[in-house]
Amino acid sequence: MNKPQHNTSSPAKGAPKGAAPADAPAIPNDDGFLDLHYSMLRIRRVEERLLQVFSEGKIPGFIHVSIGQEAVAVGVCSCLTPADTIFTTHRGHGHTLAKGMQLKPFMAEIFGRDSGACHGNSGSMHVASSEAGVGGANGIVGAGLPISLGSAFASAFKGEDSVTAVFFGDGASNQGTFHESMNLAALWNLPIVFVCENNGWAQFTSQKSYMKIDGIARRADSYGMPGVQVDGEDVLRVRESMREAVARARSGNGPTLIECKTYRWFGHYAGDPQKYRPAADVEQSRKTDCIANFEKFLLDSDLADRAQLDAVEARLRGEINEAIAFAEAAPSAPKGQFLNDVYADAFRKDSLS
Amino acid sequence: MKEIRYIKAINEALHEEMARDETVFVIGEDVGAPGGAFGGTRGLLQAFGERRVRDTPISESAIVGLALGAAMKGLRPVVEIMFADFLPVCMDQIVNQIAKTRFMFGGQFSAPLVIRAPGGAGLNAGPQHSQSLEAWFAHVPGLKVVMPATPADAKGLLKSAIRDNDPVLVLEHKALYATSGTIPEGEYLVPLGKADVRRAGNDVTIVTASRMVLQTLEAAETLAGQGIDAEVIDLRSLTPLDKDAIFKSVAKTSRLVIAHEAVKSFGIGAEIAAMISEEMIDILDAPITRVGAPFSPVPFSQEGDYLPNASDVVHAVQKVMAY
Amino acid sequence: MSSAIVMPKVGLTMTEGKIVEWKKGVGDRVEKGETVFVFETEKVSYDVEAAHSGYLTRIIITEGETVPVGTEVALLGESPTTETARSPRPVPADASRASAPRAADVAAGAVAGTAIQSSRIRATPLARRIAKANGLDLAQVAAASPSARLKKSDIEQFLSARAARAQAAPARAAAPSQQGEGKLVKLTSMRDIIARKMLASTVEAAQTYMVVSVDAGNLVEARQRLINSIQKETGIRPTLTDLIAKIVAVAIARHPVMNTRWTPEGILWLDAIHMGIATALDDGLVVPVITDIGNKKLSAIAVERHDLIESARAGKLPPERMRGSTFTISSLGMFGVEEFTAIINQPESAILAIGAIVDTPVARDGAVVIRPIMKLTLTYDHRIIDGAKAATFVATLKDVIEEPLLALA
Repeated sequence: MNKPQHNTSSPAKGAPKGAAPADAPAIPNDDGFLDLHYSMLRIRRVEERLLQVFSEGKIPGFIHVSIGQEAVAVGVCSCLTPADTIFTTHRGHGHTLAKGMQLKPFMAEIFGRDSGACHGNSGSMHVASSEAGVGGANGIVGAGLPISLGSAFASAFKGEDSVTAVFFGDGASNQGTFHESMNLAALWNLPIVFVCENNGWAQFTSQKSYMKIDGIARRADSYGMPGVQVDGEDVLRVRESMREAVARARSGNGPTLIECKTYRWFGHYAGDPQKYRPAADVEQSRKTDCIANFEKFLLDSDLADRAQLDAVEARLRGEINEAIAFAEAAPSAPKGQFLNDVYADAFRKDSLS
Repeated sequence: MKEIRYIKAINEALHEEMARDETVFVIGEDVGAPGGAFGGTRGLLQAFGERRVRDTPISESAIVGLALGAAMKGLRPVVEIMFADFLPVCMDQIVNQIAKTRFMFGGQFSAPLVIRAPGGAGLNAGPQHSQSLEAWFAHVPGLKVVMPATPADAKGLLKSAIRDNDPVLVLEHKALYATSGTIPEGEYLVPLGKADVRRAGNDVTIVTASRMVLQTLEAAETLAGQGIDAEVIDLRSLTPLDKDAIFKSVAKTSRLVIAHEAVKSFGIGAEIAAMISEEMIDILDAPITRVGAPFSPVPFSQEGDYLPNASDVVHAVQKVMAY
Repeated sequence: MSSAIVMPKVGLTMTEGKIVEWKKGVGDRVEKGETVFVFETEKVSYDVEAAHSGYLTRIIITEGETVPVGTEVALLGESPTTETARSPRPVPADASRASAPRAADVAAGAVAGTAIQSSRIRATPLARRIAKANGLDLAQVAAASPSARLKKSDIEQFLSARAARAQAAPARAAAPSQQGEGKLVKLTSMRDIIARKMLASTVEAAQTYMVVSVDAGNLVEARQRLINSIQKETGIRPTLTDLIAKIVAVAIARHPVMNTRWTPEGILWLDAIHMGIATALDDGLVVPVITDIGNKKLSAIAVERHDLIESARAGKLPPERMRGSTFTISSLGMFGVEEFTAIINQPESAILAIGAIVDTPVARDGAVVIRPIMKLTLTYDHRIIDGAKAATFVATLKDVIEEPLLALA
């Protein structure tokens, strides 16, 4: 399992006590709860800071935050190892961090610095980390799906048991690439998990106005693979479904589609005034807080106390301040450096000019 | 040396590279048992099995995207797209994904893959199966584009493309598939980015590629009979472009004609003309002239009327010489 | 202590925002999350909420003003004391960059302003280049040429006709201008430097000169023989100047007094020969330097001379490539000048002026023959070099030019 790098998790002894959320799955004897909490809160706090520094004009371009959807990223990535690969979307900060990308190169990339993971070539929308198994965020809706097939194909081709997970939104499920990829993955039994984050909004358009059916999971059946719909605000349910899907993929039994119903608290992009979205919808989405719910569960179950949770907050503040300071102080790429990564093999640059 | 057909030379390249490198695999529509729509992958399934020769559904985006993901993980996919006209179907994967993977991710991932696709007219295949779209791809940083004109180059360039660490689009010409030529026995490579002077001459430089090389060489012989000594440069690679070869030749002849089968407007001819204008206009003793197809889709029934040919090249050169 | 409230960036394209309303006044208490002001961009209005609680101590940007993203618009303090002294912080670089014009846009604008000239003489670019290199006025060529459009062949015809005329009669002097008035052109810095150096040279050195006629037949032939191999090796065609430069270096090596410098302490005998090549530009003169020419092959000299002159013409010659010469040559042969004297390039002690190669009737073995004759004029500083020393140098020069093989001897 991919553990975020921290040491706040104290092993919970035996089955946790206290009340679980209504209709919760049986709680396994598991010491990963604090990891889940830490990982979700880390995404939340990082993105809150990103919104702040973006509004201060410190980040060029635009960013898309996933606040409200953290449980999907964390539930899914908690089932993956560093050898596994994810492909993500324009709203990919959460997935990337949950998969284990270091915060400093992540932040420096968003700030467009040379020490960013992609030397400032990519920004927020195309962050990748080969060491953490992040095959890249993608600025084209639905484009990561075919690429993720290749990653899964390579695992099978090489006889490795690694798996691939690909994140996409409800909007992307109407792209041709979704259908092509689902078909091919099922046909070839590829070790892949399709994770649909259904937040009900395709950019500025509500799902009701572009789809006749209200669930994406149903579509799995058309391609001959299992499809499940889970409460994407419940990290434990997401994790449970993902575990099952990963086990299926690793054992050579092919792909799964997991649809996670979730909520996008903010607009499509940072600064989106959301004039298209009823205020009540925004309000409703923020009432469902996957992190607050999970904290309540931890406290109610005596898996953590308030002091522990406060310590996590303090630790994250330090971590994020450090990463922001690192990114702000980091130098920009030297002039013309962007030419270095256009091709792997250097050939005369003048033949390009 | 041995005599071989263009399509068979491609087939040999695939056999040799798959035997040489375990990470090479072939993927595309009908590439398995059928051996490819034009026979390019014939015998590969028998020789290397289903694991490395993958027949796919008709899903160009998925095929090409899959190749990218596999290449990012260290494999060397060779994709066959049945007609170059189908490349636009998977344009996002080629232009936004494959071409930019290395760049966007700051060199953390590469995309060492090959896409083979036959373009060009001459077989009455109609408007959607006859196009020459190379300029589109040559315009995209991150891609390499080659266009072999002979069996020897078809084999040598493909082998180099497979070994290259960047994505290479190999635009074959379907009307050349049945043509024959000699190739060296045994192992050889043709480097990417190197043009070939097919005929040396002093009076005028004709830059061309793919099937127009044949028409241009024919034109050069006609011109020689008229006392005009033309130098014919076969580009072979569009990206990287062998500027040196073009510049050296024009420095010698002071006259330049560019001939390609693609629509003349906004084509590679325009690019080469602009390069010369920018960097060595004062060597020119006549206007740079282009030979290309009219601004129309390829017609089904009047290809002969539509396609640029040897006599078009002759006329263009005569005009330049008489300027 | 107070903190700044800035114009926020909302979205990819926003570069500036217009404040339409302040919801709070100076001195008001502001709670975190309360709307402080409203701004508008592209007809969409946004409420800006306070990032933390405090008192609005100063409004810097008033309603109706438009400011770039990142500009401080107000200060939020811990107490209601108003602030007036603090000056606004400059706009952060990232934000201001968006509003600066891009180089590409500026360039595009410049191009758009260029008018098409219709009255130009029609000539190919190659013809223009050859004409310029030979100092020809295109109008003059056009008037003399039957072609509607000048090509390389037209220029070449004109040049050979002119050479024939030059043989027939000396050029007539132009009539002196009757005009009494003129226009004052300020000195360029290059003109200023040339003027001062030239004057200083004539004042400081005891300059005198001698002329020698040289048969350039073998030199021209030697060049013809070398052209192909050197061009093949380097892509550059060696010029006569290159060959002469090399030969001058050979002669200097045999007469090191030519490679000296007058100093108050004494005469400085220099080891290496660094050859200056006086080069005319449209608006002046520069002397690029081929360093250590004595140890360079002809091909290397040709390449270096070519690169130096190209850079000089492009105005890109670095100053260090114009310093340190120990001997200079100057040629006006391409202008048809047969003989001229040059002023020593201080602090050197001599300079060689090279004239045009002109087919000239000369006596050989009792008969008159036509030979390509070139006149060399050595200007030398008599403080250092005596006439006889100069003469032996000139004699060596003549011998080697007339038999370039002697360079090897």
